[in-house]
Amino acid sequence: MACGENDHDLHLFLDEELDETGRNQVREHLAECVDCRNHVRHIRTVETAVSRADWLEVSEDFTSRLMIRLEKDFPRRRLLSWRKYTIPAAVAVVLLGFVAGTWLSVPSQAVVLGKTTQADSVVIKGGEVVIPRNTTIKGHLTVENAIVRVYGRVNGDVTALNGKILMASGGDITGKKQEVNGALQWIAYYAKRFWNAIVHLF
Amino acid sequence: MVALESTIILRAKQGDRQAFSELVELYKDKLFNAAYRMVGNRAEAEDIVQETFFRAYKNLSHYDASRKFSTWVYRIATNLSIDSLRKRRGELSFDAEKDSGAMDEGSDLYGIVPSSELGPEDVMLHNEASEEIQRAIERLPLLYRAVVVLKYMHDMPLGEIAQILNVPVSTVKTRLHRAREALRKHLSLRSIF
Repeated sequence: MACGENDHDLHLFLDEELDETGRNQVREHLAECVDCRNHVRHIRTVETAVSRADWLEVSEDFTSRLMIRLEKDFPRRRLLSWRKYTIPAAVAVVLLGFVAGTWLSVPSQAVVLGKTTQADSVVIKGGEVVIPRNTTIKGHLTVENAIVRVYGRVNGDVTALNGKILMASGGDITGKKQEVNGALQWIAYYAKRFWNAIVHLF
Repeated sequence: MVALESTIILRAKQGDRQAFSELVELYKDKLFNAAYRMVGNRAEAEDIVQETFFRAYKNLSHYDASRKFSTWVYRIATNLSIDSLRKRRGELSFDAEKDSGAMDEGSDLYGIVPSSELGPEDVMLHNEASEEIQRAIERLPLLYRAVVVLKYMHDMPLGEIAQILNVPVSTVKTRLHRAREALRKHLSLRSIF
């Protein structure tokens, strides 16, 4: 092993990357060559010196300054993003359209709906729908925009949309009595009917 | 510690800014020291580390969590430091061999390396020595500097240094050997041994 040519080996020796044979060769050489020995020691000293260099700290407001900058350049979205609310928004639009539609489609005069077998036997008079005394209606009766005066008998439900049910003495409703007034009740009424329709499908 | 860090990283990736600030706390001083040793100026080093975290935040969604976070941020900081030095290159010479006269005569490693038993006057010498070392590092060619800083001041394995600098491990070794020789020349030992 000759001096001047073995810098590479010396560095491999320093990094402990030589095999047993290589290490022994370098050690033998170092034992007899003072220049190379000093060279190795010098490098070791330099390594120690560099690794002991002072450890510094950033200024105290470093993190707060950074976070302020991030806040400015990437403002957090405080408004609700559309994507998250697409489905509720769509539902709201459909419901609104539904309510407006039924509202508009409701005729302003008194109308008798429903699956009664004797729809003819009710009397429509101005803003009132009268079920005369001694008359029995079989089936459900739905009335819009009218006051329902029940003198006779209804074997079923009576529903008054945008109206009222007035029971006269002797009048009788065997089923449910329901008055639907105002937008919220309309929605509830139609939702219930829709739900019942679905239930009945199965 | 590693598990904890990966949890913080995951939360930060999900947009948790508090988690990101915890990552900043973990790495700010490490990156600052690395940048400072490379550029040799506190204010500039702090700007570099600010920019590093800014970019890290901006690109957090692209960070591959299966790789080491430290490698990723060190890489950003090292690249920014090297860019910053390259911009200055026109003004100053970074060739280690060109202006080696002045320091060789003035420096003495007895002062630079404190012995294991430090007296009060040795501490003084140590502070001065620290500046000498900094100047010696600043005289290293650009590409050697990062290797020396990461290897000796940050105790990094050569494999990770290779990943940070995006070069093969063999290149890191070559640079390290040359950097050591250059430092040896700049930090001369007079009358030792």
